Amino acid sequence: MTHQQAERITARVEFAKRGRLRFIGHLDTARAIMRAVRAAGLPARTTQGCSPHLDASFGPALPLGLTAGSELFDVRLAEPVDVVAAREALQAHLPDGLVIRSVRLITGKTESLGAWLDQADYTVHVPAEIMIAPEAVEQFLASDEAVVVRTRGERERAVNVRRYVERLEAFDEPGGGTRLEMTIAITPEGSASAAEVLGLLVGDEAARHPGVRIERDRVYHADEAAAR
Amino acid sequence: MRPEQLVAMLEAELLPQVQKPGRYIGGELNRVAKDHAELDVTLALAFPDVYEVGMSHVGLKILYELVNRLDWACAERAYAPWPDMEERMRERGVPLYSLETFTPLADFDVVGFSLQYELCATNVLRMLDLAGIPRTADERLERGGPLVIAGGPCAFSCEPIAPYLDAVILGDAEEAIVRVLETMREAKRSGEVLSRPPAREALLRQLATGGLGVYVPQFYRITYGADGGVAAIDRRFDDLPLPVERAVVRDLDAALYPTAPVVPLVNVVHDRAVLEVMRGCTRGCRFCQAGMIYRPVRERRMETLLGQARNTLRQTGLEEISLSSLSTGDYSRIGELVTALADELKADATSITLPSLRVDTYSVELAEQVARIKRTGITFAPETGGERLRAVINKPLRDSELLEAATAAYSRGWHLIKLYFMIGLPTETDDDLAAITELIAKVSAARRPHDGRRGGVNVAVSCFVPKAHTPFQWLGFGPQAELRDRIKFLRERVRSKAVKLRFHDPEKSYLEAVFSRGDRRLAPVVAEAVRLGARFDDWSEHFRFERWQRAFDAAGVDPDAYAYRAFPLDAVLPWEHLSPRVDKAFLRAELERAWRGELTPDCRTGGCRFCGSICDV
Repeated sequence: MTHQQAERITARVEFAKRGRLRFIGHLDTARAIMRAVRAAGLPARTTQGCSPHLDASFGPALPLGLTAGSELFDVRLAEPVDVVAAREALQAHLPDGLVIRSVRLITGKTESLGAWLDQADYTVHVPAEIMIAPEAVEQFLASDEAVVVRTRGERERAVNVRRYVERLEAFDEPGGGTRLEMTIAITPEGSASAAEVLGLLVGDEAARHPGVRIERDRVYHADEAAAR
Repeated sequence: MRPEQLVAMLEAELLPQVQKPGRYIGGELNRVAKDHAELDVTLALAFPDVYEVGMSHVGLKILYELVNRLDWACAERAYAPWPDMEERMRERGVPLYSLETFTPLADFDVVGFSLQYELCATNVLRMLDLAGIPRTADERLERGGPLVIAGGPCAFSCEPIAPYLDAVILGDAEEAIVRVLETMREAKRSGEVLSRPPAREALLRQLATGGLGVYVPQFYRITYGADGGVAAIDRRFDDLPLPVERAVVRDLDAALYPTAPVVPLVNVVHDRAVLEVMRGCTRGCRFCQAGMIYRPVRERRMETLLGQARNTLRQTGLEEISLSSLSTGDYSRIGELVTALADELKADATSITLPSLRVDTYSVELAEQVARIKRTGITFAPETGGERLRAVINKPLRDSELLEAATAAYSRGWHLIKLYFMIGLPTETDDDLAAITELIAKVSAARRPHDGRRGGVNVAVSCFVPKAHTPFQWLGFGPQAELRDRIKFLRERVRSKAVKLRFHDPEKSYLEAVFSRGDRRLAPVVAEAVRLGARFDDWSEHFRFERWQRAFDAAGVDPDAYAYRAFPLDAVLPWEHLSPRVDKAFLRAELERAWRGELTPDCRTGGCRFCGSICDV
């Protein structure tokens, strides 16, 4: 490392997305956070070139309508910061529903979060009106094929999402209804959404019931989580 | 419906089913939500277009911060829901609500609409309907409901929707709004039941006679003549102003400017911070309504602006800042301001936009200053092709100046230039249109000496609409068929692949002409158009001309008479009683000079022309 080339510092920020804020999309969320970084006055680095912007990276997109417990974003800094003060400053410049849970500093090279984060846990709250047959979960796990049809514009595509579902468990909720917990792999080839898995269990129409609530509890790098 | 119920229904049943639900959830950074139980007066600022358009507008941001600084009042926001949301709200019985506290609009003391363009009239009615507020001022006098007021540039030609409004603020609303709310507060304190007609009328009369630039349409009687025009405009009480004169901020530098504006949650049209460097323009382009109704020119000091820029960016984190005014290139210290800002903002990559520059090489130098951070587009508005016609509209510009500016832009790295033109201007001939095509070709060729290639030119062509309170207010529009011929003429002659031509829809311009020149007899047409499904008429995807034709037929109104009629110079104009403080004699003298092709210099440099505006020149 030369004298000019300072050590690479990244702030890794863990945040939650709550309440009505689930109705804004991934890009809108990213924009709100990057504006908070700017307003908070963090010594963030910007990219060079004709359209300079913050040197930041976000995890895999959270679908519209989902809340999230633990998402990550990285922003490169020109110098270290006090992480407690940074957390407070960020929080002061965010809309209702975006909650900063922690800020930590990483020195040295980091992989882009979009590529590095490869697994996510979900909790799906299913209201009592929707029955989940006790054997449905077992059957799903026993099979090696579970096909959903995705439409993009005019085009339809059948995708086997079974291979992305690492874990699926159903629990009765004390007040009635069911709680599903699942772990889903995020791979360069693709992934499954929690809503798709629910649709395979209860049918697509029931899965769209307004009482269904889906939260992505956390998104992480599987090897690192296992090492812990 | 109570706010908690409303929120529950929104979250469970409405938001998951509509496009871009982020428009409807509020909770943005810097929004102000107060407890209504602790306030004397509540104001809903209603913008009759979708969130992304309304959130881009500066005027309401000023009023929002001004009112929210009062400890006894609040200002909250509401926008027109997109049709998919409107439908679901109607189905579910969810009323139009404010984004701050999810309070139904009908529960506010005052609902204020911002009228930015003529074709928002149907959305105003739809928002009242969706809020469950009686539509007309007469109905509200009988049945009660919030005080429905309006402001913005179209306040000066608001007659077509006047029956739906209780009061209209003419001019700089920040000068009047607090007094309006104070009057409301006193009326509420007096214990009078404002839903009773005498109390409501007394309140309106107080507003109308307070010297605030407040126009109360129901206090003015319009009589129509045998020729179809307005014969007379009378006031119902002697103490009412006639004409009503607009409110004017005298010292713009001292006026409040919001540095903690609400930061939108979804990508909006102008997603950036705005510095209002000055207000008003005295170049005197004869087609331009803004150049007449915002007189005189008032600048903010450079030090004030730099401070406001710093504050705004610190409180919003926005990545772009726009230097806004009717003609930013005319700001007296524009070069210094741009250089100082660019120096300061380069470090954190905050870009600067200059939306309204003059056509000259100096403008290109300014654009290059801001391109140090991020290169944005470059736009010139020659308005028309020939120098003769430019003298008629009083926008003096030599073709050579435009070409020099274009050459400078191409040689400094721009590949694309945007040009604005108008067709259907008074005295325009085929020669003038041919001159437009030649000019476009020359601009494109101006890149040749630089790198041997043709320069890209994006051309936007609009149809001239004669606007109230301008020297051309007496003239008729179009006609439509002729405008279509002119569009064809241009299309056939501009063939270069480097040039993209875009035209404003002549049917929409026609309707704008009807409404910007109209009177109160058009009010039933708006109601009929709403009944037939009209909304978001400024959006091409929603605008249906045949719907309007049916509405005119049903109401028995001939729109041609409104769009095409030329008013005799001694006629009573439908907007005669609404004064932007520019004298009719001045406008008339300007019209006569137009016919003679005589230029009138900017009064800031060329001496006073006695336009009647209050200023220090």
